[in-house]
Amino acid sequence: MSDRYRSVAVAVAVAIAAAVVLSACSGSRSNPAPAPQPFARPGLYVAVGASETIGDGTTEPLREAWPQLLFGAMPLSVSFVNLGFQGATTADAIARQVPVAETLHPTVATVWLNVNDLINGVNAPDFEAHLRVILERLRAAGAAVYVANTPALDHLPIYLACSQAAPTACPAGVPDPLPPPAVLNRMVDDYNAATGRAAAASGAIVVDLHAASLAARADGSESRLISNDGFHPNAAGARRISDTFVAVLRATGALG
Amino acid sequence: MSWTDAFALVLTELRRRAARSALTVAAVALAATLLTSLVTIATTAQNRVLSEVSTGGPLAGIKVAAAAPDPSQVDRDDARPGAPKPLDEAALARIRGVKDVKAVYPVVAVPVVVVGPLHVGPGPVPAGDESVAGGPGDGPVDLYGDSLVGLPLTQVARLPVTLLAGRLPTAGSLTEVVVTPGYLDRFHLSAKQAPLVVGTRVEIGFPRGFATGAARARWVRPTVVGVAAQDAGPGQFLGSVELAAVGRDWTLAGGARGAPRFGLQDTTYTGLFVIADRLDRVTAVRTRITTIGYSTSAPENLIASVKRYLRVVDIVLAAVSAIALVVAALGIANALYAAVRERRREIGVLKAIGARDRDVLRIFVLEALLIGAVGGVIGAVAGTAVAGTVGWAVNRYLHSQGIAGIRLALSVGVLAGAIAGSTLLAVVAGVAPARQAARLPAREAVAE
Repeated sequence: MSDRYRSVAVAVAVAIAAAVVLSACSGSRSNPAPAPQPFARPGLYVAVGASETIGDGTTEPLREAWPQLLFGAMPLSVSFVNLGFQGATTADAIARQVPVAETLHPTVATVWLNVNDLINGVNAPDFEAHLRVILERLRAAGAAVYVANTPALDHLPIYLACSQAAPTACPAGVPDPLPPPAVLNRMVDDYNAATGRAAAASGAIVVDLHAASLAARADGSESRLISNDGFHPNAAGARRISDTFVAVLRATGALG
Repeated sequence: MSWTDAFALVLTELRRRAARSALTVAAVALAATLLTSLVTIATTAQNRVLSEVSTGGPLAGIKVAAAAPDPSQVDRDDARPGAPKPLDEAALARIRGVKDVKAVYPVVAVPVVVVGPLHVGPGPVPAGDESVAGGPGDGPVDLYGDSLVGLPLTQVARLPVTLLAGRLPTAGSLTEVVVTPGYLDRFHLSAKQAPLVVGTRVEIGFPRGFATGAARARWVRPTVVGVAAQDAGPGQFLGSVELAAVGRDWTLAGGARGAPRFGLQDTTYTGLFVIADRLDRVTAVRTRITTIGYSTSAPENLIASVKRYLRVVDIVLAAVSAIALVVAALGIANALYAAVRERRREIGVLKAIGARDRDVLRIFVLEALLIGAVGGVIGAVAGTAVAGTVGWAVNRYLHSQGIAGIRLALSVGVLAGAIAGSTLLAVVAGVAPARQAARLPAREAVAE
């Protein structure tokens, strides 16, 4: 082979090798979530979560719970199962909700599990590990998974009432003492970072309820979105949460 | 004399006495009209009554339940089902193979939880809520339990289903249902207001129990595409077998804590609708299914009773029609006798120039035949029009009551029979005067 042709062959080989190496490297960096496909066939939406998922805080959970509203935005061919229950933590969900969800092979799954873990003192690494298990198992079952992060909690009426030196309107079951706002916000930030990492690793998509809650605070509507129990979203709050989920699902093409 | 010549003479005579001919034809036409319209209306009414009795399904239909049989069920229309007994594919195949069974259709009835709609009926729909279910509520949730009955919708014409408004769901649909009058009653809607629910959506949940004791529903939001009366199974909702199977599988997955709690038996089919070859084979088929070991029911005794009474009506109507035809025949005979008297000279002239007795007979019989045939045709057409008008009026009334209309039982046989019968009767009525005219001596006829 002449020198000219040899140098061309070497250049081509190097280019091919570089392409192979680059593609291998990009695969190990992240596992981007594949764009969920619209419901091309009858689908199933499963909600995994806790009390706010089953509509606590609303007047008519069967009509006003945010997953029910999200279900209402989906194509008519979709059916819906709400596996949430009161007080559920990520560990509870792994034990009771995820096994059922796996048998259903849902098309879409939403996960909102954080506040009860926070209340029960689960540290961020453990929370992340549990959450990642949930998200990976749901993804393995075939679902496009949307996971909510933790909204801002420092302005919740129940937190404010129970944080007073002599709390008078603090119901039983609230941890005592409550962390000060700065600590609480740092814990929420740690949880949200953990949520982001778990989502990235499993191919789930984060629904930023934290940003939505701050937006509500900025536009002055925050207090009108919380129910009389000072903790759960009311019907208007559930609608705001559902709208946030709908926007993300729509942006990722899951609603067609 | 040829038939052509005789026909020409008849036409000339009919034209000459046009008024009398028209009156005679009108009498025959009236009788034929009465016969045609009565038979058509009676048949239509009979079909509708029997259809109502068998609630829209074929008369030889038998309902099979997923239960052991009542030993005395064959003698009764409604059986008392015994202990639950699974009805699976093997049982369906076995029943399908029973002698005198024409067809077998599966029924799947499943329990559902219903979130009642926010708004049903006339008036404005709440803002931002295009469906009647869903969206922020301004009133308490109407939550109640009921059933969804799944049927093979490609065969619904053979099932006990009567559409009252809208349409039936598409075969295999998971997003469409039909509601029953019971659903209308729940929201205080009359049958006339049935169209108001068509196009709305309803939220239905299939319940399931879990080991923790909690219950969860699998929710669907089908569109209500119609309103129908049905007797395939108890329930306010009618849909495809496929939709019901989704619910059945979800509820049964709850295991021992699930299905019994919600009243669902662990069975593939909750019932079958069997059609016998003929109505008189229903008892035999029921006996064989009882032997296989399943509970059955069929309105055969009721249908037999109704058919007996309808037979009485048929006899009365036949008598009325016969009287009308006899009156018409007498009119023809009377007109022909008068014609013979008036045309004696003409008959004499015909015979004088060589016409034989049978030629004269031919003329008058042909005249009678023509009057009968024309009257019969006019009567058949008029009778159809009368029946059609009556049918239109009846449908207008039924639709105003929110009830499905009737389909006119027009029959070519009835029309042909009316024409043929009128013609034959006219010929029979015309024979006697025709023979009298034929026997007139030529000399005697000309001399008058």
